[in-house]
Amino acid sequence: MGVLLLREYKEVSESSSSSWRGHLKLQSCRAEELLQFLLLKLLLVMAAASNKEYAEFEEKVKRTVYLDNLGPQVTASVLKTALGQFGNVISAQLIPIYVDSPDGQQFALVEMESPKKAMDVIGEMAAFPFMMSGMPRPVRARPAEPEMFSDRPARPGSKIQFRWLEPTDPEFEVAQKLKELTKQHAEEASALLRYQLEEEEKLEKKQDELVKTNHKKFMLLNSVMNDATVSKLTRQYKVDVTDV
Amino acid sequence: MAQAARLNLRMQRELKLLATDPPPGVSLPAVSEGGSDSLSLSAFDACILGPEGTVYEKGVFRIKIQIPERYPFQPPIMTFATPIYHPNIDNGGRICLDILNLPPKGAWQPSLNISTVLTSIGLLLMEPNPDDGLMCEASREYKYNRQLFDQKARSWTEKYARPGAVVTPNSDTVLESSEVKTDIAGSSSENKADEDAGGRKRLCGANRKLSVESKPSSVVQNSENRGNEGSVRRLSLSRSQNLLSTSARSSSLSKTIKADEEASSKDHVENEAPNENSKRDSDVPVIVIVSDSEGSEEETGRARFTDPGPEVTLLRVSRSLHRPILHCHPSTGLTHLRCPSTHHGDAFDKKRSLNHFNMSTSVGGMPITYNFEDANHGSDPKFEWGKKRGIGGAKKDVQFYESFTYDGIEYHLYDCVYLYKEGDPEPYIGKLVKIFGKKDEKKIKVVWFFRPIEILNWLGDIVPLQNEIFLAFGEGVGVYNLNPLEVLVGKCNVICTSKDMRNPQPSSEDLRMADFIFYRTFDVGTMSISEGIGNSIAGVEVRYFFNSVSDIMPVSLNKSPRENGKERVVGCSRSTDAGIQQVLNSDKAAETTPELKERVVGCGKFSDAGIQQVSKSDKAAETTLELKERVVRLGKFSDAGIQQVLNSDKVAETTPELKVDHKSITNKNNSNSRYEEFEKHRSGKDPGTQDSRPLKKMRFSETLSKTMKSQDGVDTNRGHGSVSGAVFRTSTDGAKLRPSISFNKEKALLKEKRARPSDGLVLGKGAQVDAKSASKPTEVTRRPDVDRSKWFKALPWEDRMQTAEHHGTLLFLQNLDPSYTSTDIEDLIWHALEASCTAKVARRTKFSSPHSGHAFVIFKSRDAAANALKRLTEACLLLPNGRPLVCTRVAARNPDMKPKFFGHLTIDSARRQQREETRNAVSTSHCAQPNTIEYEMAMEWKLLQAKSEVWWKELYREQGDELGKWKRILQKK
Repeated sequence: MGVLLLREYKEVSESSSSSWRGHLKLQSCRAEELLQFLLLKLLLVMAAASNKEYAEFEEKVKRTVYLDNLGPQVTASVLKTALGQFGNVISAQLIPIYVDSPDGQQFALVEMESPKKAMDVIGEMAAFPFMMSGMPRPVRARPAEPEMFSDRPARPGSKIQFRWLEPTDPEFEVAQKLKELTKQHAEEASALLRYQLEEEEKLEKKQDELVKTNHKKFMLLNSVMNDATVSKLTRQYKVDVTDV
Repeated sequence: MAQAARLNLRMQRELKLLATDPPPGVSLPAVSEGGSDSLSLSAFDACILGPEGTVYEKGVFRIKIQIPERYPFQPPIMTFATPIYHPNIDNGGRICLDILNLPPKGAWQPSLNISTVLTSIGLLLMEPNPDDGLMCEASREYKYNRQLFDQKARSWTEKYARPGAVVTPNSDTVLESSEVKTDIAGSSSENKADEDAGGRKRLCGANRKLSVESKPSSVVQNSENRGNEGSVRRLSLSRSQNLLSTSARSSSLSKTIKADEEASSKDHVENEAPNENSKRDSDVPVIVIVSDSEGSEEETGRARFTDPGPEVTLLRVSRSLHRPILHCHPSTGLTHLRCPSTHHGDAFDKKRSLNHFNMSTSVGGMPITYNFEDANHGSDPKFEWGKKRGIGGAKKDVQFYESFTYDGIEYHLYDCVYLYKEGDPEPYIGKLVKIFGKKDEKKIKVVWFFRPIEILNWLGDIVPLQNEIFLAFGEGVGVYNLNPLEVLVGKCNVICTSKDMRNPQPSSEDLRMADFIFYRTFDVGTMSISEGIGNSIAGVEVRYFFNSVSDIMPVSLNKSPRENGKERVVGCSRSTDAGIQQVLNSDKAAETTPELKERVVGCGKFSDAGIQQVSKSDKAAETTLELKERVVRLGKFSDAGIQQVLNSDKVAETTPELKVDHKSITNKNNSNSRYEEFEKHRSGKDPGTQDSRPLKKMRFSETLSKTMKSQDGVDTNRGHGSVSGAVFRTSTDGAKLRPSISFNKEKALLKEKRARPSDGLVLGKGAQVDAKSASKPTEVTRRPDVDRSKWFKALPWEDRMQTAEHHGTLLFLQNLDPSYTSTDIEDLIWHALEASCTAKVARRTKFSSPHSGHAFVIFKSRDAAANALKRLTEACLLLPNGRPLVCTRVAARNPDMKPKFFGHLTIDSARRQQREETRNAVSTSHCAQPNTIEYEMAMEWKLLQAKSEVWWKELYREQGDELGKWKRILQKK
């Protein structure tokens, strides 16, 4: 259709350019078609624009690293500095979670200068535990997904349809079941989150003890080194501590 | 109101800021008033400390600051009162600073403030700019003979800027000296606007006191109204000297006042002298003072302005040569004397044409006479409260009202009013959004309208229509103010011509009747004009700003009845006996305005008898006189038949002109269903108060001849209609219903009269959509008003969510397609539910379900949200790929819940080095190196993360399977 119109439009424009006075009549006949064509073209242009917009957005998504397991102290500037070690950071933002959650972790999106850099960051963080604003829980990096962005453009060509199902509808019960399922799934997810938090808490406790024990040892060693005990003993046993 | 009010507000805020958080080296001594020549200027001094390490070190320099009338569009005028030897400050104290001048010469911007200017002056002291010197000599010396300059500057500092020379803010001497210095003529303390719960400031226009009182002697004073006089604050005039001395003694002002008083024998205006009606004397000079009075607004005002000291703030003195206006400057307490007679042609001047008195005083030995008009032979304007609403305030000592009568005019909540504006022929325009009394104070909260002239600077290319005004909007100073009730001068008729869906469109008659129209708002935060109107303004739902039932009825101007020689009689009485009430009211009416027949204004309260004939003898009623005789009935029901109405709080909330045919109330076979419909309807209109309302107190309201034009109403009706299944019929019923509430209800029903065809169209369309949506999928396109939201800057989403949650307009949608954007959802809601909303998709994280997109949706009203919730719960909105939309309310946030984050360990050891390391670890980031404990622990965390990833994946896979199973069943069918 579009091609057809395009051809016709060519005709029109050619004829009109050769001697448009003579073809005035023709033009008026075809004015409607011309209008249609222009409309079509406008639509195409718009579609192209939205396509382009979406393509740009997709590029941005590819450049972006998603981070979680972030502590509460992390801010956008901390993110910028932290990922600045890997390459230029274009932007960094925390993903706001608008609802109450027992989980204190934060999520962030950091846009790097290129998709390659983003992959580097993800690779690096997978290979080495990366600490940000606290330790020893490392940050986790993943490629970003479009749904993580709030200001994303609509996917071109996507159409939203809906229909109402009244209680009398035979499908209504199934739909109702699906509704319940959705709610149930949300419950399940929050249960899993709670479980995960329990696990995290356990791990933290365990590690805290470990750290404290280690710290005690360290302090002990330090104190014997600092007071004269060690030197006294070395002298007594005639051992050279530096060798130990 | 805008400009002066905002100036005041801004100054108030700035001064507060200066007092609490001054720029380094700056202190704010007594906010001394009255030093200026022009009355509307406020002037005060600031002290700036010579910056350390400069030649001005240890010097304290006093800077006189004058705020021009057009501040902040004009820079403040600042001069050094303390002589200073500085290249950019001349002998007169003038400062050569670019930000003290308007562009193009200078660089003043309204966004700058006193504080920034003072900071700049401080910098200027540190870094003189000899290249742009005012003082040639000093500049030259500074440049070429620095030693000499330093020496001179030091000696000047030593000589003039010794700290001892600076007066402290609270000292009484300052007060006195400033008075003497400024040749105070009349002194008056005035009421300060006090603060509301929100802590915002507002303008006080107590000034009106002197201007309003005068009335034609023909006014029949309602003796009922006098009953309240004891509690009414008055500003009365008296020339008895003993009064003065009493009052003077009662406050520490006595010294200054007496001094003035002895200098010339004067009359005094005594505020709060309940039993002392004024005795005017047109020849005796008057000095205006305001005595200290308990529980009055002064107290509040004083309390508020205590920063520099109560006395300083209490006594505000000013000298006027040009515009003697008694006016209280809210920010500074500067009081002006006003000479209303200079404003002929004032809308409200007519009121005070009868009694004059002269007030004279001497300025610098020259007697100056001011004309004052007296208030109705010394008595106050009549005042009486109308219906009460609730009680509020921290101590439960604030009584809210719905209506009141002042000076013969009955005001109701959400009326548009004129407010007295000092020195201006044109009064301010505002909308009453709150009426309350605390002790003897009477306050109103007013949301402003701006005249184009008031916002000239921001109009840009916009050419305002004739009579167009702009509604204040946005966040910031200037949206609303609390005012003493006495500043009211009358009502005005403002019609909203906004094409907003929520706005009931006015008829051409409405437009003709309108004094003003508005459809655009002026955002005081961004200083921009827009057509979009948000959800609420100053905490008041926006529907009150659109045309309401009462606005559609032409609201009268207060002046018109008087001009027409017709007096409005107000019967605000509470009676258990309807019959008596009726008689009473009609008696009054007959007495004063026989030609108006049995029209009486009444805020009658009565019980099951429910028969009260109330009408309004104002212009509004008059215009429609020929149409029909209007009888206003404010009907109220209580099934117990008990007088429940005394504490009822609904009248003014809607409007003065809610009218219900009592016949329709008493016996209609289908009346019950109507009542329900009404109640729903009302609930739509009034979500904020619905909850607190006892259900049995049903109350109906409608205008007589106009349809209910509230879009909310339409939505509601439609909502109910579709829910009940009989979509089209019910909707049509709704359409019928609305006119049917009018006076000729039955006729209207029969005729299926539709005063507003557009409403009908909308309804029809809605019904059609509902009807056809039975099972065919509808495609969502962009909603038509999509651009609206771009007109004004949105608040941060968190804030909006919080507000929305509070108002019950927030819903949570689940099971959306994850690919939907916020705009998609808005469009979807628009098409599916015929409601506009703002949506925000919850952003996905790695822990969110990939199957279901979530979004928060804020609706325009609680009712819309409730309807959406109901509809989405009862029916199913099926999205493609078998997704029924799940809609819930968002669980209230628990402030106690503190999310925990595990896995960041700190060692509370005393070792400095370790702490250092920990701190660094917190503020920086690093990769853990192998062979450390940290690395090992980090690996444990990684393990846990990997595990959790598997859990989530597994969970969502299972959920996906489950969903898929059901979806297949759905698609098979």
